[in-house]
Amino acid sequence: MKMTSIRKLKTIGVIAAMSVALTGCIVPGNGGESEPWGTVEPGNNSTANNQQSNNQQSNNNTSSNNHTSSNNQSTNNASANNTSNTSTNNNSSSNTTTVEPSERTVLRGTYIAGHLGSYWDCPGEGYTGEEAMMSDGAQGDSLIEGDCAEDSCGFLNCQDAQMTVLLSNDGQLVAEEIAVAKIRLLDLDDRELGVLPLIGVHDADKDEIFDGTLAVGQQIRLRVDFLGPENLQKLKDDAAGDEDSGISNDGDRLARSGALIEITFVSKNADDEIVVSKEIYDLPAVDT
Amino acid sequence: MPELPYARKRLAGYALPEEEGGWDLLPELGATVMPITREQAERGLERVPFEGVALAPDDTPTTQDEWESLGERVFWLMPMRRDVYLEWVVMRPELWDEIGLEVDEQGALRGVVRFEDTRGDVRIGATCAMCHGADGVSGRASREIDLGRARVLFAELRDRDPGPYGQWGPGRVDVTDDEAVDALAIPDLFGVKHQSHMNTSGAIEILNPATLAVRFETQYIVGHSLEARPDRRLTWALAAFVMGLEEPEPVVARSEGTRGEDVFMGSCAGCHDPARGYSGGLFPAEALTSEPQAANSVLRGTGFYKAPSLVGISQGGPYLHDASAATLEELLEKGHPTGSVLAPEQRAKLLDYLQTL
Repeated sequence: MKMTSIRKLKTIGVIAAMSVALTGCIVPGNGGESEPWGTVEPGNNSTANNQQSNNQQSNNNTSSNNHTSSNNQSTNNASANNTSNTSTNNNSSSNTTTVEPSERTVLRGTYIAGHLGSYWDCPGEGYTGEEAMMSDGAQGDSLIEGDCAEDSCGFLNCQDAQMTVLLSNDGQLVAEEIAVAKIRLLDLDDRELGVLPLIGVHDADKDEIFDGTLAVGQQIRLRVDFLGPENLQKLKDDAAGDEDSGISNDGDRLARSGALIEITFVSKNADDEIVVSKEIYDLPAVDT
Repeated sequence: MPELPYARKRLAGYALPEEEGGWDLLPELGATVMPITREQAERGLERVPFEGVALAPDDTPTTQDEWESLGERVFWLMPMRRDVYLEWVVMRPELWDEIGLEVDEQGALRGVVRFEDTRGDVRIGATCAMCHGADGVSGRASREIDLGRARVLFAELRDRDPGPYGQWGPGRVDVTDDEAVDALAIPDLFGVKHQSHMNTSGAIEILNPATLAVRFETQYIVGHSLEARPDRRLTWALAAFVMGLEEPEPVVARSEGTRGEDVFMGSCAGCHDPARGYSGGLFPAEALTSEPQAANSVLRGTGFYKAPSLVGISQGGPYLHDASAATLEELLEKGHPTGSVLAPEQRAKLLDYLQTL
């Protein structure tokens, strides 16, 4: 019986993804697994420009231990490609060809659903905005097989954030090397609360790692797993600073307890596609 | 968009225009399920191969009977939600009695199944029947299940603050994530077809069976971490089944001129309309002498309570939304604004009549 091996699967996926994202190649010692969506070197995009410095800094900090920072993980591919043909990370030469506009296709993303996770049982594992290193996150929400002897072993009442997106290739060319470049957490006034670390991208129907390719006319439901905020309200309060949030009681707070997620997809041969969620929330503890 | 946070959380992403996406586009979870027996749990579920049976039929039902028959299977077997603490309890059969989980004649847990989720993992989920299938009767609320206790045990095990869960007690759950502690009695589902609203505070107006189907679908989606939606035929079938739930036989058969009928018709029928399964609309929460907190919940509160159906009220309490009245006598004496002003003789007659509902 395959009894919820979420943690193991994710751990493998995260390590592989981070390794690739950090270095542009597979890091020895991770079993040689690569995440195709994490290896792409997409075309020019503004996200890359904005994030390059963070990315490079993070690479330097973390490339030796298979962990990554929030900014780095989500922007590595884009930043590495800012110069189109100049790899900053010893990237594969197959990704160094400039793509002419006429050779570009069109990605279209549509929000489906999502949540901000739950870190009730994993204090310290959610996004706080202060991470220098990317956490592995809660990594699954249940029944994780372990080898400890305690009665509680393996049970974690926590779950990483995720957003499901329908991604379509509306152009006339196969879209290649599609990747998630950035995941922004926004409040309901579109104020940025943080850039959240990516954990993995899967074909939501097959539960397979997305290979980064979309045929002409193809649609795919992608489940994007990422580190959710450990305390959303605190992030909101910090972002608001001295501003009057307009929240004066429990009712106001709960009525505005949600946030927005903005995911930027990049591709070797398509313009960036940004998908913004509807208002989404932490996973409820008891709400039915 | 509704202002009530409870409704907004569900409807902001539901039934959107196609270009806006939303929950309609979620992957459909094939409801493949497998009952759980005590023997299996004692052996260790991880050692029991998952051999699930699909709930969805090959052919879509075409008659009301077929829909309701499918709905009955869904009621008992379709996992509406999954919770880690519950999975932990289910894998420890020594806790089942303490938590109030029931086992049927075949040794299988009532209202709890194994299923395969969208990630290909075998999980444990709760069906409608866990809370609303006591004694094997579809629609009967469990007075024994103590999910608060389960949460306390799980929290203590993890050395975490159990929070307010210990205050729930058997047969009660707090289904709102606000900070108020306002556990409500798990309701019977008899007479839903007569009712104008769902939830104690009437947060959802029942317009037709589709209301229930949408409610069940959104409940399912949230219960599965917004990663999957159900086969829509199954939630429609479930709605048809719940709408058609028949009340159990009353404790005392009613006949013309049953003692107390005059009291009921004169004092109670204004809110508990016999033509509507002895249910009614909404009334201000302050009218009840019991705790009005749930009606004022920031998530679900409307400021009102619904007049519930009295069908099956003779089957036993506790009564009122918060289960604060253990018996009908106590209800009429202390908790109910009409019952408490009746003369003792009238109240006695009314109690006789209520035994016939």
